[in-house]
Amino acid sequence: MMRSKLKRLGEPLKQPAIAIFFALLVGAAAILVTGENPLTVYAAMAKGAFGSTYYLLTTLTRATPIIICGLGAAVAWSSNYMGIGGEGQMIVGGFVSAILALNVPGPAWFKIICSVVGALAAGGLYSALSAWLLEKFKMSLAISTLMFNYAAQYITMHFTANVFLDTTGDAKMTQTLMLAEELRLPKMVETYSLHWGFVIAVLLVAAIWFVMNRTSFGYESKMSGYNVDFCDYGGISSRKVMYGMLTLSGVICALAGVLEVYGVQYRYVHNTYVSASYAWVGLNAALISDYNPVGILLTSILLAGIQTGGAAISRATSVPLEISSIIQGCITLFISAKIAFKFRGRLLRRPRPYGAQAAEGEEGEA
Amino acid sequence: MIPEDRYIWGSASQATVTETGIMGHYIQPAFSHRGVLKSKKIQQFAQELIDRFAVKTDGIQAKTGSLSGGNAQKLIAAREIMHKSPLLLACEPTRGVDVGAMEFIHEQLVKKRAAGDGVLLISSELSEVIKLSDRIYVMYRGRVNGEFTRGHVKEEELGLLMARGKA
Repeated sequence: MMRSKLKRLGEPLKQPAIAIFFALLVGAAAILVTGENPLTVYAAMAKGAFGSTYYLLTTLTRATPIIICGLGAAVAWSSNYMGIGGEGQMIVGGFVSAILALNVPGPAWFKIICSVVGALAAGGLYSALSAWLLEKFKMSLAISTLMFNYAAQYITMHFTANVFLDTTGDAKMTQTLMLAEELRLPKMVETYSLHWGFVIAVLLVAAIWFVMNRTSFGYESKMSGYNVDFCDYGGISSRKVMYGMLTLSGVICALAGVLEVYGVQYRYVHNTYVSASYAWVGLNAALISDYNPVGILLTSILLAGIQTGGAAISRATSVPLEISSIIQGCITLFISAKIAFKFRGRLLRRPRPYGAQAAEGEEGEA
Repeated sequence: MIPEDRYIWGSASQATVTETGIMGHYIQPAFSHRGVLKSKKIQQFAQELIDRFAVKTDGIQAKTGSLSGGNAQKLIAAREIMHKSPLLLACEPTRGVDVGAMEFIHEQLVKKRAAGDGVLLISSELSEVIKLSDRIYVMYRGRVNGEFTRGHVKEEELGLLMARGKA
């Protein structure tokens, strides 16, 4: 009994562990090509990611938006709505929160509430727009969300550069003014980069776990992810699930942007979320951990560690920074191989009685 | 309603037995309160389903996909019969299940009728229809074109009505 319970708890970890192991193996081959010893490089990497308080806290800071975007992706993907708009949602959240915090009059608490609520609402609405396009025009969610990423990125760039540009400094960056001191999220430990946003992310992990596993809405969306026809039969409105989960996903990813503004840069800086690809790494974490919130927390920290560790080895050895991209790319590859197998298995196993072909074609749509 | 196909509409193979068993019931006040599910009650309910209908499974946390066809069908029949509805629609309730499970589901349908509820059985299995029904309507091209009552069924006539619409 105890054993089977342990086995069940360990089961979700098996797949990611295998994928990460193979990715490290491929990474090792790449390191050999550069003429270094993979073991020493990996040791340096681990040290650069988790080896000291400074590195550890830097990794956790980096992991914060990844965790949140991972959760955002997980709620949508696990209910069968595979949007990849996390990046745009994060940009909208960050931009709106910075603009509102800078321009709403009144006391600090009022500014904060307006800016956070406004940013989350904007992220949710922005994401719900893709849901609407899917419902009304059968527009592929993957395409609409991906394209919206660019729209969000360049529209905010326009406004940042032409309306809200910070002209006080010398830096030629496309960025807004900085938030006033009293608005900023405090650091958890003085002089280190880690801010209280990380705690918010961990609390969010618990909240999302609760929503997914203990509420009727979570049950509905989970079943929608498993079998849409089953939901229709059982009286679950797929429309409600679609709008609900995509909006929630937008709100969550927007929060990632808000926390970056309040905790890290204290302003909206064009292109930072894109170049760090937080949303994509978050999606990766969600896929690796099979949409399990606790798994997302752990894998996000690991992936953030690979990034910060990669930066460390490029300083310490002749191995270039890109090695961490190789490892990450391989993890993605092995995980998507798993998904492809699962999908193939599902198609093969699906029974096809007469009259069912029509229902087949509609799978995955609203 | 017992759906025609247990895998397309009746269940989700990746869902646990509990999750499949609670479909349609979870929204009732007994199992959820303001959108929050009552896990304990739900698990008790799932356990009751598999106990009462003798569903062979590794437990309520096993995946529905791991059940045999007959047991999956029993689980679905259990779920639907447990609804306290005055009418049960049963579409092909025993398609592709073994004899034991078939007998069992038949008994449960009759029991539901005996409790004063209506059961509308739709089946391509003639012996099942004749054995269980109080009244049989034969459909041909979307219209009812024949009616029999229990004990007055002539199989040849029924077959002819099915095939070409008139006896």
